[in-house]
Amino acid sequence: MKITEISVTPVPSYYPKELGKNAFSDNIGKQRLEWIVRAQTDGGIEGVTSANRAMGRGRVEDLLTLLKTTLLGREVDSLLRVQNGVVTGPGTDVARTFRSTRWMDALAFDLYGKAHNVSAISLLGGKVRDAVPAYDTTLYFQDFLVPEKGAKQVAEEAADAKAAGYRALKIKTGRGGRWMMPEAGMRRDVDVVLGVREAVGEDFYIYVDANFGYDDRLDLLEDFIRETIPANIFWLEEMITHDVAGYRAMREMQAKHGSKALLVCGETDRDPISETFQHLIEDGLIDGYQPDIVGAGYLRWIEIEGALGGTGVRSIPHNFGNGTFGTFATLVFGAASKTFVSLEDERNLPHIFGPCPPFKDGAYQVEERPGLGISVDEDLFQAKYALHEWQVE
Amino acid sequence: MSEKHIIKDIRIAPVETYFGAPGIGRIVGRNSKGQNYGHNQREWLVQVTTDSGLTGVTNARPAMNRTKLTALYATLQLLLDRDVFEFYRVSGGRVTGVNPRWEELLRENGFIDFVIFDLMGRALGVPAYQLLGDRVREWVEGYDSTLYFQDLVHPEAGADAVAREAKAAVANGWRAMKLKLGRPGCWFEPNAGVARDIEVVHAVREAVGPEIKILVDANNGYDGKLPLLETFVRETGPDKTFWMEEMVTENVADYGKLKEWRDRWSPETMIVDGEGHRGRNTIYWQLMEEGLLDGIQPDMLDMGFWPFHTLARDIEDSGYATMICPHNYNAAAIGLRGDIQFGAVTERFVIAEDSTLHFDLYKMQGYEFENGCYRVPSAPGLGIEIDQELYAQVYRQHETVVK
Repeated sequence: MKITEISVTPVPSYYPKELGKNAFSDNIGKQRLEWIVRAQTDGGIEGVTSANRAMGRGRVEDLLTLLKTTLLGREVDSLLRVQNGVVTGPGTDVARTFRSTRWMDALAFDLYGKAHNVSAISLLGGKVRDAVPAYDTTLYFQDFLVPEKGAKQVAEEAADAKAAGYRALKIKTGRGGRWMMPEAGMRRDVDVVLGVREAVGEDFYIYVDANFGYDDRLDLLEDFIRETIPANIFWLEEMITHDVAGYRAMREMQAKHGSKALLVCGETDRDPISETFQHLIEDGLIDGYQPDIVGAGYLRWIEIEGALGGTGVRSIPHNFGNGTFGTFATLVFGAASKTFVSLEDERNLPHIFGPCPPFKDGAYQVEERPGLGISVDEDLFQAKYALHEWQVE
Repeated sequence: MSEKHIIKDIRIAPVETYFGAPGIGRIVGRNSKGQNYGHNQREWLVQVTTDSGLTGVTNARPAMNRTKLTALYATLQLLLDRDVFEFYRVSGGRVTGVNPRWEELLRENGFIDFVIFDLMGRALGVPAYQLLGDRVREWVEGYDSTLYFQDLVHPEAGADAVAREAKAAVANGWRAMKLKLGRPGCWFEPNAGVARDIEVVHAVREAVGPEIKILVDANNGYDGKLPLLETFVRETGPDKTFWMEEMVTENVADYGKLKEWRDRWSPETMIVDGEGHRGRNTIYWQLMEEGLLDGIQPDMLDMGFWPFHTLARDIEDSGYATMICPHNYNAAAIGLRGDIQFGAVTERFVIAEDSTLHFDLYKMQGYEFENGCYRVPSAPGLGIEIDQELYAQVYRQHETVVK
């Protein structure tokens, strides 16, 4: 079965609300594009992926050329090496391509799975859980967006997340990194975390992500860790840039103040597992590792999980910016990964992929379907998006 | 010698506003190279108060776009305990030069120049523009600068997504508007991109009629695609665009071609560029020398009044015909008022870039908007007052006091 047609289409994807700043970026906004790649075969099946990782700094013109030279005319079975129904690596002819464009391998899993009527979950080793926990990742610096409410705005949105069924959420912190004076920023971070805990109650996971906003201010980071102990934070993410000495200092702060939070990072690792992260893992300085699910790709994640075996470091793929496709892609991975913690959920409103699987008690139910389990609503696609569908010629 | 007005208090606060209203307002889409401009925008309001009770304002967003609050704080600290009249030489009520002690700081931080002019104007009881010269016009035209790639925000509507917002701009009073183009650059297949650019210009012209000025801006989206640019210029000739901005990155060869095509198919259209620099780079003077640049566009707030005034003067003295068309998009509201002040006194000024945003916090004194133009106010300084009651209720909790 060969790939005979490929197209690229930008599809607007909406958040249910405006998303504010994080520690280093200005407002995220309310809408982003998902660059949907659709690949048809002569066997009548269609595979999809998201080219957002390519289009972050790229051009449609180059993307079309890349897809033409790497995938058009390619046999679906040549994309992956499969033994006993489980993927062991890329196909020989595409190994080099997938190394530099890892976002493409989700398409390979989708096509191969659909061609052989097996789920990508199965190709990744099989289902290990019936439901994949997810966390609301939309609590940015919302206090800037609604200044009259300040920290209370974040707490209100946290309560909304709980009402929507979530049992975990992530709070962006690190306000002193760029947008506030360091001391005032730390104070606001503390107020936000304590306010959110009060809003969601005890039986709820709170994750915190500073996007390196405490770089060079370990003194304030220690204040933050100490003062948020009552909030029982589940993980501390990217509080500072990955660095052995800095993470060792964080471990010492945790021991001193009684913080049990996991230390997690790795979304910025563009070639995982790179050297500094290997050191952090070997020295037991991180508990969770976070290369992007689409950016790193399933094939790299298979390798990562192999390397993490026995270290106690858990898989927590980053997913922000991957849109609705990323939710499906992480769900597949989370269903098959033994050490997976929680799905980063942007809470995108449904579009051509239709609604996500049922969400209950803070987790998406796993529904094994061929490939990634995604299909395009063709009527909707034709009505709203086909005007901007560009074919690989 | 003027009476002293010593700067004693400086406060910084981020101020947000929306295109329309939170949750339901417009989303302003992407340009040829960036992500969505967004649903809301913000200024970094700086209020500077003297021991004599004067308060001037500026927007520090140019600094916050490139650095951190700590760096802005350190920069503003340098102003404390300084007399508002020590930054510039002032003679006969006019600024005649910059104090070398402060030249570098003001050059690097044009937004500070805004607040200094505001305070000097208030101290002397004159509008900011009067510090530069006599008023040359009573009204300054503005153009709606928010027509981005709305077709990617509302994909089902295609070019009509831009046209209907252009129509709304006219209904809201604007008589000029700028369309973001350059779709061949990143987000479209190049041939489809130029086709859409052309379609958008046609659709907008049809929607707004022949009297409305249509400016276009490709953010260099035709770089490396000169044949497509030629097609664009040829096909949109009948639409009589007012100016073509940043169609390609500044270079003499490509601008020579652009001018050739412009002269052939759209001879009344200006060729403008320069928002990314402060007008002193050699390339601009080469383009001016060759007659390839009809308007130059350093950012108003990033540049400041005095550097822009001297740039305009140097262009005049050089005998070039190039006009002044300040970029002003990061500065949603305060920058526009600066643009109007500058336009009031600058013969070569063409039109003011208007993000169309309204901030409840600001009370603009005398800037009436009529027939797409803003009246030049007679209020002292920039004529911008802060609603201190609202500030206390909403923004005080977010302010940083420079000490």
